[in-house]
This record gives sequence, C-alpha cells and structure tokens, in this order.
Amino acid sequence: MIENLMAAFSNVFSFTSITVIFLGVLVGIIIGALPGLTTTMGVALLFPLTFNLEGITGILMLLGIYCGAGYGGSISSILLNTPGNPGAVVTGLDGYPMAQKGEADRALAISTYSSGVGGMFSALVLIFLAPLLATVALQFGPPEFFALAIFGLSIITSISGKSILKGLIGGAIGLFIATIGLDSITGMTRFTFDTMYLMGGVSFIPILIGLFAFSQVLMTVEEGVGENVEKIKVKIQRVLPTKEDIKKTNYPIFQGSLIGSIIGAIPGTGGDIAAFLSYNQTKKSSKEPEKFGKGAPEGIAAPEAANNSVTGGAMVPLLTLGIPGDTVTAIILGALMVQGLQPGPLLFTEHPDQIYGIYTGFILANIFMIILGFLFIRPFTKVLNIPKPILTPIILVLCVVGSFSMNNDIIDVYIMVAAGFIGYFLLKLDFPISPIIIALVLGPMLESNFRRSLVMSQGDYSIFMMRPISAGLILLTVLTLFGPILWNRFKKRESHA
Amino acid sequence: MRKGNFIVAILTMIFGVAVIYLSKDFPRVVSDAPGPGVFPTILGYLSIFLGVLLFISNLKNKDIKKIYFFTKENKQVYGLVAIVIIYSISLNFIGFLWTTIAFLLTSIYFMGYRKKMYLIPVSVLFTLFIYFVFAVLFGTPLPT
Repeated sequence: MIENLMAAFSNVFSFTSITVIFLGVLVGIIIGALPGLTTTMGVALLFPLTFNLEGITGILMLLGIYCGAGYGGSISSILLNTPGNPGAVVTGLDGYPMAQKGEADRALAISTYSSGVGGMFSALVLIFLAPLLATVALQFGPPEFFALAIFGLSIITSISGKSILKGLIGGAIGLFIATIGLDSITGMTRFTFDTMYLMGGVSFIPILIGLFAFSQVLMTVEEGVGENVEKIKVKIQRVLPTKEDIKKTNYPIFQGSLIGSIIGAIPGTGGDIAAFLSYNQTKKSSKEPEKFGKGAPEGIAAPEAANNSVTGGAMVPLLTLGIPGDTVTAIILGALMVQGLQPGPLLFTEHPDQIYGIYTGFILANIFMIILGFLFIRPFTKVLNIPKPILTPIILVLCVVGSFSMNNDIIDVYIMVAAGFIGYFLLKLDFPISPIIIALVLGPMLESNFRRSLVMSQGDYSIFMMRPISAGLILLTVLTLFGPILWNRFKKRESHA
Repeated sequence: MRKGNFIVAILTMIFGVAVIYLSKDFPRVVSDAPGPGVFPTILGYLSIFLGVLLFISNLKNKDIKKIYFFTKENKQVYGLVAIVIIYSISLNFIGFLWTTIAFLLTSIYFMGYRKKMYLIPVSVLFTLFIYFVFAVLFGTPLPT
C-alpha cells in the first residue's frame, strides 16, 4: 500500500499534474458560474486535451472541472439569482436574498467554505467506501456486469426530463451507435458500410462535443440567454467566512455533506436533488425556520455542501463498478477507457497506484477550489459580465479545435458540426440528449456481458435470475425505473405543503 | 410540439426497421449463445415499440406549444452554423491562426457586438491563447 501511495504521490505531485488540476478547477469554476454553460460542456470541451497526457493526469483535469463547476454555479446563483447549474438552484434561495441585503461577500464566503468542506468530506467517503465495494464487486461475473449495465441504463428514466419515452428512444439510439464497428466477441464488422472510418466505431469525441457543447451554444443563442444582463458590481470586502457563520453552519454542512455523498453514489440522481434534500432537512431541524428564504447562512451552507459532496459519491460506482451516474461521470468513464483503464473492481487490484492517484488528485482539486474561491472571487464575479456575443464564438472555436485535435482529422470537425446541428433540433423537440451518451458508454458492457453470460449458461436465460447479485440488481433496476415517479409525487406534495 | 412528436415517432420506427434490415445477415447464434445479430435486432424492435408508444401517447397530447424555425433568432443560429462550416473548411487550407482570427472577428460582429476597441484584441488574443494552451502546453495538433 505504501508503495502504491508513494507512486501515486510522485505521479500527482508533478508539475504537469498540479498544473492541469489547477487549470481544470479554474475552468470548472468559470464554466459553472456562467449560466448556459454546463459542466458536461466543460468536460466535453477539455476531454481532447487528456489524450496527450499520460495515465490519469488527464482524468485529474476532468475531475478538477467536475469539482470546480459544482462550486462555480453558486456564484451566479447568489449574485444574479440565475443558477449556473441545476445544483445551485437551491443555493439561490438564501444566497440571493443575502446578496440583496448588501452581503454578497458574506454569501460567497459561506458558499466557498461549505463547498470546500463538502467536497473534502465526499473525498473521504470515496476513499473509505470504494475499496469495500470493489472487494464485493471482485466476485462479479458476466451476468452481474450485465445486470449492472442494465441498472446503469435505468437512470435514463430519471435524467430524461420532460419525456421519459423520448429519453428511452435516445437510449436505443445510443446503444445502436455503440454496436457500430468491430464486434468485440466475434470480430465481425457491423454497420460500417465498408468504410475504414467506422471500423473502430463511431468517434465518441466529436459526437460528444457536438451534442453537449455546440448544440447547447446554439440553443443559448436562440433563447437569448445572458443577453441584456445588467452589469454586476459587487463590493467584496471580506473573502473568508466569519467565525460566527462557521459556527452556525457546522452542523448543516456536516448533514449536507452526508446527504450529498449518499445521493451522489446513487446513479441517476445529482446535485439538484441532494441540495434540495439537504436544504429541506436543515430547514426542518432549524430552530428558526422562518429565517430561511430571507438570507439564512444555513440555507446557503446546507445545499452548497450537499451539491459539492455529490462529486465524491458519484465516483464510487464509477470507479468500482464502471457505471456512470450522470453525463459528466459518463465522459470521465470514457476518458479512463481511452487511457486503457477500464473502471471496475479489477482496476483496484491491477492499478492500485492509479486509484490512489485519483484519490490524491481529487483531494487536491478540492483544495484548489477553496484556494481559488477565496483568492479570486473578485475576478470570478467579473466573468459574469463577459458579453454573450464574445463568449459564444469563443466556445465555438473550442468545439472545432477539440474535435479536430483527437485524430488530427478534419472529418471529425464535420461530424461534430453535424451532431451539433442535429442536437439543436433534438433540443428544440424536448428530446433529452444525455441518455444517448449514457447508452453509448454502457452499450459495449451491456452487450458483451449479455452474450458472455449466455455462453456460460449455454443459452439458458435463467442465469440472470439464478444468481443472487444479478437478480438483486435487476430488482433494483425496476425500483429505479419507478423511483422518479415517486420522486415527482413527493415533490408535488412538498410544493402543496 | 404535437407535430414534432409525430415526426420523432415516425423517424424512430423507420430507424428500427432500418436496423433490423441491416442486421438481417449477421449470425444469430455463435457457440450456443446469441451472435452479433441478436442485440441490434432487439434494439430495432425496441425502437419500433417505443416509436409506436410515442405515437399513441401523442394522440392525446394537447400541448399546443409551437416550435419555430424561421424567427430572427433561428436565422441567427443558422447563420452562425454557416460561418462555422466555412471556418472548418478553410481551416484545412489556410491553417489555424489566420482562420481563427477571421472567424472570431466575423462571428462576434455577426452576433451583434460592435465595439472595435475590444473586437480586434479579443479575437487576436484568444486565438493566441488557444494556440498556446493546445499546441504549446499540451502538444495537441492544430490544423495547419
């Protein structure tokens, strides 16, 4: 263990690694803060850069974006009452009123502090929980991995937004795209139309950038997001939270971090649900619930801690089981596979140094987030003033450069533009895009383990129900499928109350 | 939205049929287990099923939200896409630096930004910044 830890340290504490983690967190905070730019967009745009970095270094940059963006969303939520990402919606409930009272700096300081603590807490949860789960998962065979893939796909119903049916159609399309190219078991080519370009499968990156960056930017152009925003002038006198605020928020932060880490580990949930639950819980247990919604420090700390602790929780199923909980972790999964690191229990036994490296990098990313948050909060608030006519073309350049740089091939740029233009129309039709990517990532795992299981059982389908873990996971899938319906009921009841 | 849903439903069904047709020659059974043809065929049937389901559920849909394709904002989107296409084609012939500066100037102006004091410096500086980060810092290839 000591050896692996040393190897991980020498890997992470190199100049390159520290620089890219720092860069990732910085980009993450900026992207998180800007309404209309999503975490997924940030991760997709910087994904191509990870190809030229060895081992997990590139992954650490993506993790940095993931951590930074969770925090960055709160900046615009507090200052503009426009959340930078869905997880920050709840932060605005008390953050914006506090800022309106002229205490924007206080709100931002509490948010930075609780985000940092939440992130660190979840890193500890990850370090403690992941090896345990990995040990269990070592017993898994193809039927269990098939059941896991099915379970992973079931989250499509909870991330499909307005139309679950369209989300499922997107899932089917994603699974189909995953079958293009060489069949992993027989080596036969499928749906390649005899072209060399499709032999290795459809390139993941151009489609990813097209769907999550290009089309989203086109959507913000159409909707006029960020136009006519009045220039924000914030007076920031202090960047650190007061002792009194820290004392007041201790328990809400602890509770929020716990809720966030657990919620994060459940695929298909996310920062928004964690923040909402944490806020509610804190409000319920508060002695002064009437102060919530009017600028209570606990009302900022609780959701912010939860929102950021989701990251560590989400890494647990990703690393140990190889199933992503949302689009961001799906892309991180893709990045790990590009580096030849297949997430799953074997990663823990075969590459423990890389796992320790991810832990260390993750903690470092959270430390950078706190430092950047306290030191550079003034420039971050200025970022919100960048006019959209300048920001949009800049992101378009990144889309083009990113898709080109992977294979040094201009065809990938054309594919990106095509995917983005199609994605734009899909978004207009309320067609959720995330399921396509989740299915695209899980497709190979689903199909190959399905067929391997049946080779094992000589074609007997009962194998999936005869093994307790795979049967249990399939049962869990059914629960996940109906979970969102229950959640919606719960939300409706809450809003009536 | 109703019309859009019908189009999506029909396209999904066509997609399903096409997938089943294209995978008809793939082996069904390899060593007693499903071969490469089975999974895509299942996906084909699944798509047809989901398409039919969407079609039926849409019959009762009273969503009257209209989708527009030719408003001022729509045209701005199409114009921007056209500029990006021209940009990506010329990248291949002229290289990264000059085309990107030209692209930024054109598209920022096209988006309605007119302050010359910022327009030129932003375009040039950002291009150089990207060049530095991608080509120098990360050693990623850029179009030449």
